[in-house]
Amino acid sequence: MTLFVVLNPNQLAVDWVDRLNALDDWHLSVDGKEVGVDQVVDHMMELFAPDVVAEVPPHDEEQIGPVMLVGSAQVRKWVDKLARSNVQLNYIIKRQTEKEFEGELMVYSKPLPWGGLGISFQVIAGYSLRKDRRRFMEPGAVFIQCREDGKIQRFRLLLTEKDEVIDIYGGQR
Amino acid sequence: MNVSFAILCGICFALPIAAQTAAPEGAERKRDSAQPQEMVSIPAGKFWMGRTNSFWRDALDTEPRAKRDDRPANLIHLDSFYLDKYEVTNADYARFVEATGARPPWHWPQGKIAKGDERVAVYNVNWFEATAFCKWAGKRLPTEAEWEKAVRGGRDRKVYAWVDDNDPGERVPAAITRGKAMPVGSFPPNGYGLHDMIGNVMEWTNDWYDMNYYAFMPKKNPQGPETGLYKSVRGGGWTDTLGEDGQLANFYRNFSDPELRGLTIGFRCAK
Repeated sequence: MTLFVVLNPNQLAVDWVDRLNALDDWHLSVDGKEVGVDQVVDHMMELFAPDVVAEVPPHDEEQIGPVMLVGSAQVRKWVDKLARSNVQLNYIIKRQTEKEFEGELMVYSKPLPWGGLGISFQVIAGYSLRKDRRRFMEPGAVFIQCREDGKIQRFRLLLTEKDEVIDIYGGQR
Repeated sequence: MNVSFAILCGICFALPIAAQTAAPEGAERKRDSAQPQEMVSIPAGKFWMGRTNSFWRDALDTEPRAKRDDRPANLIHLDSFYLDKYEVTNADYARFVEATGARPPWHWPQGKIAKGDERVAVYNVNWFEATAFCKWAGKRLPTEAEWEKAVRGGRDRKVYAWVDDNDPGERVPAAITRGKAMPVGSFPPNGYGLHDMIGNVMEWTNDWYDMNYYAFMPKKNPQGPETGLYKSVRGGGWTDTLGEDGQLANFYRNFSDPELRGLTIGFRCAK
């Protein structure tokens, strides 16, 4: 039986970003074992429907063009790669202050005619590479279509200009 | 002036000239000592495999997902290998049929090559028969990555094998669409000296086909998916035109049931 839930756009967006940011929340044990990586990947994958179709940016400098992912197995590979190659993940949803409203979460939504909900929001993607700790920021946008049970069926992450981040304060703040 | 001084002067004079004289594009590459007859040595190194450019229709989402099987492009390293200079001909295949008792292509009248078709690229052979031929010849089918590196002939990140810009214009080799398989060597060689990589017959590769393979493919000597339903077929054939599907582009991927014998599918071997 399909469980229908009341879909809250802000909650869906925040949940997606929170689970993504938690992907680096695992560690290597003293004997070199990866502890917790499967759990954080599983946690992220709970959001996706089995027949999800996604489009994500290239994995690294040795790829050009969007990466199409068809099915949850392929999405899991992508999530797993993110978890293993990035640290200090910090995706931020764009907020806006206007008149008396402060820090309003800018999540746009639309009920889909075939059921479910479409949401989109701007993100600033912050992350460091696990291999050399170089840090990058990329502005971008996320487009999600959820089924009526809240699972993501279509998903697109667009990131634009990739900038390397340097600490001009020399760590003395 | 003694003789050795004269020779030395001659060498000194000739060396700078030789260094400045680049081999013309498509010229015969120098054979190494281990190079098998009628094969071309493809050097080790990296190349971009797949489509590195967007089509305007990508942005419109009007293209079926299956047509995006050439993306993302990946920077792939391949070890050096040899590839047949020409597609396998009817005459080559007849020797295999005679030596092994394999079945001849069904279009050969009474199981013999039609007169004058000896140099025509063989077709109506399925993937298993092509594989068996290569094994009999002490070779193998090329991987899809090897095939794509070879077709580019050193023109990395280009759309077409025969022109540097992305607009082929009127310069499409005329023989590509002559309406039937042609004798091998009908088209000019590419930068590696390989003939007929685009045009004539399409070619079997060793890899299984998976439209989503490029997303996570290995970056060194990829061997294709472990299993699949179809085998990858590469290179535009005589039925293909530039068309909006871009079948004549270097990165265009096709596939076929390995059991199928097709009028437009032949092969060449690698080593």
